[in-house]
Amino acid sequence: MKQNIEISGELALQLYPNSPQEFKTALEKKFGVEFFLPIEERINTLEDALKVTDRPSVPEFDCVPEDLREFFKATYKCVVIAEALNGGKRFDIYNADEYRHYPYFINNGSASAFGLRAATYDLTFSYAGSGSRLAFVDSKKAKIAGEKFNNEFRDMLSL
Amino acid sequence: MKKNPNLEKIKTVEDAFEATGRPKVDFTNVPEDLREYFESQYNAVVVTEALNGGKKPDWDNRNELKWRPWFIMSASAFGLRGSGCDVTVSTAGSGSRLQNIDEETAEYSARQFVDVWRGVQLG
Repeated sequence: MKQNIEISGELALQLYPNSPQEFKTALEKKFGVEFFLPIEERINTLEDALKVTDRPSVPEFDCVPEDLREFFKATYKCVVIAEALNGGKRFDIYNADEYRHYPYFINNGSASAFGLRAATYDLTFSYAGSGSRLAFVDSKKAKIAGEKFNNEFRDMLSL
Repeated sequence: MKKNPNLEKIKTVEDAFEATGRPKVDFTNVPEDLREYFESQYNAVVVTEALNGGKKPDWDNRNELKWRPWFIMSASAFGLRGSGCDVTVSTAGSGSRLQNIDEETAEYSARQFVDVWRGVQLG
């Protein structure tokens, strides 16, 4: 007897890693191969991040004075990028056992020399501006964010 | 006697709005769960601007030290741990809008406006 079953994307992601190849192929056929790639491989553009998080496109921020709008737009982009790469996980910043990773940039005095220097982490300390919304769950994701989204982070830091 | 005269004048968020002439805004145009974060961020920008006397640190100027407070993260003891400065490196979130012109100002900002900074961390 043949029966069709409905399966949610969330459940498919849970089942996929430990499924036999035949079932993996069936899941890939239904959701697409890219759907099962690691999140850091699926997020290559801001549009990818917006899609994965289901966030609306960048607001105009016309509620704030004009000279601050680009700064807030850049901040929104970085928040969405972090949310996407973290798979939606929010941090408990009071949890001293939970590492929070951040990209660390070197600024050599010009836009062209700006770039990722490394990823750093904190447990119980945090500096002004580094909120839980801009932290990453591991150093790999922090580095990827700093490399792939260099322009967005530079805008947030400099505008 | 504080070197930065703004530290004597700016004691509340209201003072910062008055000094900068910035309007109060609401962030109803962003997703609801992000509004508190952006409101805190806006308040932090306005407080920093007021304490810096309107001077926005030049992010591309390697010769200009930029100071920011560091906090100890604890629900019962959230507060200033110290302040640090950088010339050529910067971490995500520590942009020029949130940097102070000197160490004294950074430490005052953290102590006087601890609720604003807590909002940025938690929002």
